[in-house]
Amino acid sequence: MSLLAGLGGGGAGTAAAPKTQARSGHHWWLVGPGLVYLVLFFVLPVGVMLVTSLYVRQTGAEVGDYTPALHWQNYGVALESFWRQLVRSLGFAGVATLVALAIGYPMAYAIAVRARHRKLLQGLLLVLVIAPFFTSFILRTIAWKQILADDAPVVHLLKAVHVLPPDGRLTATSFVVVCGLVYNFLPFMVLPIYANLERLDPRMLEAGADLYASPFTTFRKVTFPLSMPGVVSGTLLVFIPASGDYVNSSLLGNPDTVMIGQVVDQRFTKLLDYPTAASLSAILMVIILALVITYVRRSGTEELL
Amino acid sequence: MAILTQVNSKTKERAQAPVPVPEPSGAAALELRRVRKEFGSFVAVEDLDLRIEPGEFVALLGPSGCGKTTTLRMVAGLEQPTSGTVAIGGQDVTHVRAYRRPVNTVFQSYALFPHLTVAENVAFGLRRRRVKPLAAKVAEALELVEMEHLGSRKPTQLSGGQAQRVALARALVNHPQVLLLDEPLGALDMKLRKQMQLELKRIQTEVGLTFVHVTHDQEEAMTMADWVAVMNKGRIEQIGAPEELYSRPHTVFVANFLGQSNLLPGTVTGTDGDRIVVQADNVSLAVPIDRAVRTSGSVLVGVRPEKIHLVPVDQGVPAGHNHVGLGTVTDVSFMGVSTQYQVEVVGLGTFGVFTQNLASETTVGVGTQVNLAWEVEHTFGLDGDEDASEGALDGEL
Repeated sequence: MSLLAGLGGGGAGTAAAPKTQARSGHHWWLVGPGLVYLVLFFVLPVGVMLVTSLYVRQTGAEVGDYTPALHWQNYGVALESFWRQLVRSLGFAGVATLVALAIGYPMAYAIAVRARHRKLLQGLLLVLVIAPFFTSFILRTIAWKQILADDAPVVHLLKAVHVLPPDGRLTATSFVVVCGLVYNFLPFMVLPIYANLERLDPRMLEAGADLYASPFTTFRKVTFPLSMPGVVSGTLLVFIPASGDYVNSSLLGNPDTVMIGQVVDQRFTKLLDYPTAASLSAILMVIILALVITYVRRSGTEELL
Repeated sequence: MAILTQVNSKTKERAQAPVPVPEPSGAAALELRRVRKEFGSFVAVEDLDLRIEPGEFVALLGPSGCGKTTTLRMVAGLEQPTSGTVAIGGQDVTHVRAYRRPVNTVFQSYALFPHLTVAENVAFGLRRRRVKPLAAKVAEALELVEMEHLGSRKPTQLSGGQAQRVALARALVNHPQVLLLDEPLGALDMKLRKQMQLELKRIQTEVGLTFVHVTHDQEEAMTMADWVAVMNKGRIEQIGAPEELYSRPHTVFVANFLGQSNLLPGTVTGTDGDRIVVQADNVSLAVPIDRAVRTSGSVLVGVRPEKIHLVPVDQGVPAGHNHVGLGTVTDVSFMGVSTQYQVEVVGLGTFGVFTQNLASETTVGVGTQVNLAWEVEHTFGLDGDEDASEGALDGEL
């Protein structure tokens, strides 16, 4: 699965290129370093995780001391105890993805299409999109926590204009957790869509206009479908990390906004409950894979898989 | 019938030379009035007037940068004229957005939608206007361009010639009042281009639509169009039937851009019946008055290379011919059906001469002395103040 394909390749026109490369193929050794890396740091850890998820704690054993076993029941227990957090995570991630798409698409469109002939402006806007990455993700989220704190000016202002009720608050709400997710993952939505729209042939828009399509219809029938590979990449790049995120809900949320990432974090690092943490991770992985495959199939952008 | 009324002091004078201008009846398929387009300080199209009647096939011919594509885009609504009006079927559409205009374009790069199948591409315009029965019309259009078997393909799976046919079908299916073709054959190889030229003409005759075809290929324009408008530097130099433009060009640009011409600078010394007499160096040449754009002062006497006869020195020059005297053959190129000669005449320069390789003709070798002569009726006269090399392509002879 190459989600990043949408950043560089993607569109229908480039679909044929990798095939010809594969056919000429004496360059398989080029994938070597990447393959070794993936085996060492992805395949092996996932294997270890799956094995750990079946471990069992013997009666009387110390906390954190588990024995290898094939204890399938771990999954049932994990699901039964934490299905709420799992559903909430997917819900938050889904909403955050939709909001990021709603905000990110127009941004990407403006940078790629509207600023097409002003390269300096285009570069500047792109830097602005990426700029938040220059500071730590956790630092930025802590900053949000302070900006939105109960006694901070933003809350006072919102109360003064009656957007917030007198006893309302921003931090420790689901709303702010979703906002945090949108904020943190927005660049991952904007960049693939930008990369896609940037290659949009302006003659396609002229052809649309020539064939009786109003600007809006041209967008709906030509621009948007052509940018689907970017949209799919962007939504996946937001949805997948957002559903496993634990920073935003820890820093901005409350006990009612706990996401599955937090549970895994807590089980693993605080309670040393490795089998539950591992089985929750495995469940999340399977759910995401299933969702992604269904989504990519239905959006007709199989070349991303 | 297409007519030209270019408002320009230089061309007004040229208008003395007869241009067919019958009064049109009913609304023109397309009428441009004093259309002008500026990009910054660059004038792409300069006060252009053009009228095209329904069912005509008109070619806008000119070198790149002459404003022909800009003109087409203003008709399509993809560019807004700086001034002037565009009317389609008698309706002023100058300020009508592209998608509301009853015209369709076959784009130079085809601009097929890559995410749609061939059939969906063709159906695009019909769907927007909710035309029924959709499937039948799409099938009919694909059949017209002989692409009915490839309706379910994606554009990336088509060859250049196939994509070109689909682009044509996508435009034709809407039965536009004017079909605009922007160098549609430019990307095809020579053989396919020739085939598509004939096919385009067949389709145009079959569907009876008005075609405006932009091209820089003079042969393409002459093969297909009823009327050719030769454009240069944002203006129409001359408009007429292909034979008319070829045999009686009005400007040096037309004489050189459409085929090749031998042009001799000279001065009008008088008239002789329905001819003017021109002195060029020490040779006296006759030009029919109705084939000359000016009848006094300095002129350029023109003749097409294939109209010149190479007369052996031991034979006399027939009566009724212009005769420039003896020349020396400096180059001979055998071209198959014809032979091209370069003949140097002292005082007048080098003439290009084409002769058919008929059984009766004998080839003449380099260094041979020959008389050059051509019928007076094949002579044309141009404005002598023009640069005699304008529109000529180097190394094309």
